[in-house]
This record gives sequence, C-alpha cells and structure tokens, in this order.
Amino acid sequence: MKRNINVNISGLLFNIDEDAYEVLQAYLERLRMHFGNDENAAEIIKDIENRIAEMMQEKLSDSKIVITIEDVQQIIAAMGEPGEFDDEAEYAGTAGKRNFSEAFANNNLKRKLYRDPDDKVVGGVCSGLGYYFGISAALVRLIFILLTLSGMSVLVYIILWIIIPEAQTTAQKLEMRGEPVNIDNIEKSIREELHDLGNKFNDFKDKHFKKKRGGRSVFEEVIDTLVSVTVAVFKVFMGVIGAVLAVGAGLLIISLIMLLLTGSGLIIDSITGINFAAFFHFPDFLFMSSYGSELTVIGILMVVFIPLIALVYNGIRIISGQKGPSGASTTFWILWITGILILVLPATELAGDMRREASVSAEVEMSRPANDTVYVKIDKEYFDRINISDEYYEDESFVFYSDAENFFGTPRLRVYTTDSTGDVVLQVKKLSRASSYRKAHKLAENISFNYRLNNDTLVMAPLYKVSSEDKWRMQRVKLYLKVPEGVFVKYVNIDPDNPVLSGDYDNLALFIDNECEAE
Amino acid sequence: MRKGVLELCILAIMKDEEAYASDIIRQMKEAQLIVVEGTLYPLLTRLKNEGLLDYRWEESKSGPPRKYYRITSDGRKTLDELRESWEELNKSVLKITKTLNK
Repeated sequence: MKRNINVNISGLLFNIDEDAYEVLQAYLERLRMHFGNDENAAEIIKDIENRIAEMMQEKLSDSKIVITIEDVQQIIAAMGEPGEFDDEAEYAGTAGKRNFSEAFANNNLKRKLYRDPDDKVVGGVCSGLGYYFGISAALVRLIFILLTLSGMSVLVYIILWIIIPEAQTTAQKLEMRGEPVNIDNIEKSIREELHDLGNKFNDFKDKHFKKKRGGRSVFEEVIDTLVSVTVAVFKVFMGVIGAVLAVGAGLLIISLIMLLLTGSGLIIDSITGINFAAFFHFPDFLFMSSYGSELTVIGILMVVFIPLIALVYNGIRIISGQKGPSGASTTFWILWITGILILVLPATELAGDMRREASVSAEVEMSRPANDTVYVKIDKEYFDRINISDEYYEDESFVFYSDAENFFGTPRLRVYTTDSTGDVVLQVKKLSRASSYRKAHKLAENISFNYRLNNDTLVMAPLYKVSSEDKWRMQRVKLYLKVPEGVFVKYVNIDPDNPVLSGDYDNLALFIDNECEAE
Repeated sequence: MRKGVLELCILAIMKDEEAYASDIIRQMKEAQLIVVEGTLYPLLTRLKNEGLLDYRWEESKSGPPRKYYRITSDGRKTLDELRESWEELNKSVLKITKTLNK
C-alpha cells in the first residue's frame, strides 16, 4: 500500500505516489537552485514544469491513474539533470552570448595577429599590429615611418606582410580586434583556459571512468589543478620561447644586414672582431668565372638568412597562436637546400682551381756578421707606398687586405740555427695552388714580396702582394732564416713574443716561428 | 566551440514554420544534438528575451497550454550570421581534419 498525493502542476491535477512526489520535488528544487541567479529562472522552470505535466499526462491512461516513482524517474531522465544542461549548451555564465563570433572573441581573449584589409595603407600590417598591441594604427604607422629613416622598417614590413595572414572572415576580424590586452584580461583568459581544461579533463574522466557527477574526490581535484597548472606554465613557457626566437633571430637578421650594407656590424663585429664586409668582398678574389662570386654570395646569404627568417616566422607563429600555412616549413627547407646546392657549383670550381701546388724558391747569402748578430726589421714605410683599404679579414694563419688591384698576405718567418759556421742564408719560398702545376708555378712567381739582406740586417716588407687577377689560390710566402751557431737574431721593431705591429695597423700580425729545429 | 551551435539549430528548425518545444526537442534528439530535454528550455527563453523568437499560447486537449515559438526578423538576421560563421568554422575544421585521412 502506498500513500498518494494530489499535486497541481501547470494547472493540471495529478495523483502521485508519495515517494514519486519526493523525487519530483527534489528535482524541481535542484532546478531552482541551478537557475537561481538567472533572471529567466521563473520562466524556464515554468516551461519545464509544463513539459513535465505533459509527459505525466502521456503516462496516464484509463487503467493507470497514479504517477509512480518509475514514471517520475523516466521523466527526469528525459529532461536531464541541471548539470547536463550546461554541458550541452554551455549555458552557465554565458547568458546573452549566442553568436559564434562573440563566443570566439570571448574565448580567446588573447588577440591574434592579422593584417587588417579594411584599414590599410599598404598591406594592413600596421593596423593589424595596432589591434594586437591595443594602440592606434596611426601610431604604429608613425613608428614605422620614423624607423624608415633608419632604413630598417621596409624590410621588417615586408617580412611581416608575408608572415601575418590577412583577416578575411568575420570571425578572424573579431579575433584580430579582441579585447584590449591588460592585466585583468590576461588573468581572465588564463582562468578561462584553466576552466576549459578542467572541463575537458572532466569530460574525459566521465567518458572513460564513468564517474558520477558531483562526486569528485580531493585526489581528482588535485590532479585537475596539477594538469591545469602544468598546461598554463607550458603555454607561458612556449610564449617566452616564441618571443626569444622571434626577437633574437630578428636582431641577428637586422645586424647581419647592417654589417653587409655598411661594413660595420653591431653585434657580430664586436663579438668576433672580424670585419665581414671584407669577407663579403672576398669571393671576388676567388673565382675566375664571373658567376662564381655572385653564386657564392647568393648561396651564403640563403644558407644564413633562411634559417633566421624561419626562426622569426616560427617565433611569431608561437606567440600569435596561428598555425600558419602548412607548406611554410617545407618552403623554408627547400629554399635552404637550394642555397646549399647553389654553393656546390662555385665550390666545385674552386676545388678544381686549388688542385695542384707549386713553389718558387730563392736563396740569398750573407757572410757572418761582424758582431754575430742578425737584425730583422720590418719595413713599415711599405704601408705608405700602398693604398690598402680598411677592409681586412684575419685569422690565425692568414691576413687579408685588399686595394683596388691587389690583395695582401702576411709572410711567415722561420728562424733556424744550423751547425755550420759559415754564412747566414735566407731562403724565400713562394707557394701557390692552381688547377695545374704549371699554372701554380706561374702564380707563385707572380707573388710580389720585397726584402733585402745586407751587412747585418734583414729588411722585409710586412706584406706580400698578389694581383687580384691572379685570384686567391692560397698564395703564401715563407722565409727561412738559417743562422750559424753562435749568431743571434734580434728584432728591431717587432716583439717576437707578441708579433703585432703597432700604429695604424694594430691588428697586423707577423708570424714568426722562432728558434725552430733545423729541417 | 559548441556555443552557438544549438542556437543555430533552433533558429534553423523554426525558419519556415512555428514550432512547439516538443517538436524542436524531437528534431534535435534525432540529430543527436541534445540528449536531455532540459537543455532546450533555457535556450528558448534566452532567444525569446533577446527578441530572436516570439511565441503564442495554444490550448492543448491532452495537457497544459503549449508555447508555440516562431522566428522574428531579428532572428532571421541572426540565423544568417550564425550560419555564415558556422560555414567558416566548418571550413576551417575540415581543412585541418582532412589531413587526418592522409
């Protein structure tokens, strides 16, 4: 026997079992709680009650006049629990939002970088940047114009033009405009992301572990939070990496371009001490063919710059959250490999031209000096007779200077002590490489190097000279000074321990191997 | 991402004729867009209050009076906008998901 109750739902009278009534009552209470702070709560609950009344009506027939607990359970199952409404409609907290675009803009508080086709002077880059940073497009344009005076922004503009996509659809335009980036919104967006993630995690759990709603353990909460925090940290981390990539590679590109254009790089020059302008000029002295040096320069520029541009591109992509066109990285790779292939031809040509080595030797003798001392002196006035440019390339074994028709290298001096008691002997060996022995021999002969050996002094030019037309074929000059036992070598204007000439040519090194063993 | 999808479908269902909540629920259940009926009522109320839908009462022989909803001219405009957004979104999603088949 069961007690039953008369209830009035939406103006209809029902006979309902007491236990069924309690379940129904509790359900309606849950609904009221759920919609409690919604301005439309009363109306929504009324609609739901109407529907419940209708469904109850359908359960009844001539032979069935009482609503049982099974009926109520079926009705509630069809209507769903308030928590399920939210999952389906994502209703809570978004009342009033009904538009994809609005939903988009709200979900992604971080704005995306697009070019604005509606407000553009050239490519819409400035107005896009303006939206992104929340400043007026006119201000961005003004900054760009000011930067143009320094010469850089045109290139930057073109790069940005290429990598930033145009906002074509309404949704993209809304994403572009977004909301102003301020601390509140940043915090809000992080919260929303965490919340989103929490929801996703819950969905995942519900799907795979069939957990009951509302029965979340402390452990689950902790896991949730940990996952959220990890993801948030990871996103921030990726953002930082993106920024470092983009800014770092961007600066490198700018300084590389500046040093190529002006010959005085900002960063690299001060780090390496190498003047790259001379290096840039260097291919002219390498190739017999006219295309050789051009291909080399193009190839090297491609091999160096394309990875940097790719870094900037990917950095901006990470920051902006854009996926970017799918072919972009393939394109970078293809261009880079093309750069390497371009270098193959001049490299092959050069290897051929360096195949054979030949040398020319001359020997000068001088009788043992009276006071048993040989003086070695650098002819510093040599610099007055030539007109070498400021451009030079230098490493441990090679110094490269050039003027209009020639380039210069530093001779290497070796001093030997011999067992003989006879004369002082100076051997001057000029070496060169070329495609054939005969040509190499000719090039070695062409090397111009001035020296004198008289009385007790070796006077030598600080540089040897090679005509640009001969090209650089590893021409070298080696001096072997062989002194008898008991004879000293004294350096007049060079310090053999620190063989650097002072004066205008501070970086000029003279390579001296002192007191070597005899050959 | 699902925000707006249900709204779009509700408006689309009512594009040509007025509809009673149960009709809408039936169609959306068939399309497997919603599982529980309760989802719909808050949405309908919201759309109505935003002026996208209008309704009239109709007496029912078998139960309480029913609300019959119909779309307003504002609603039609919103429907067009939503549909456009949806098509863009759909295109974007397809662009990405079609790579999954490769």
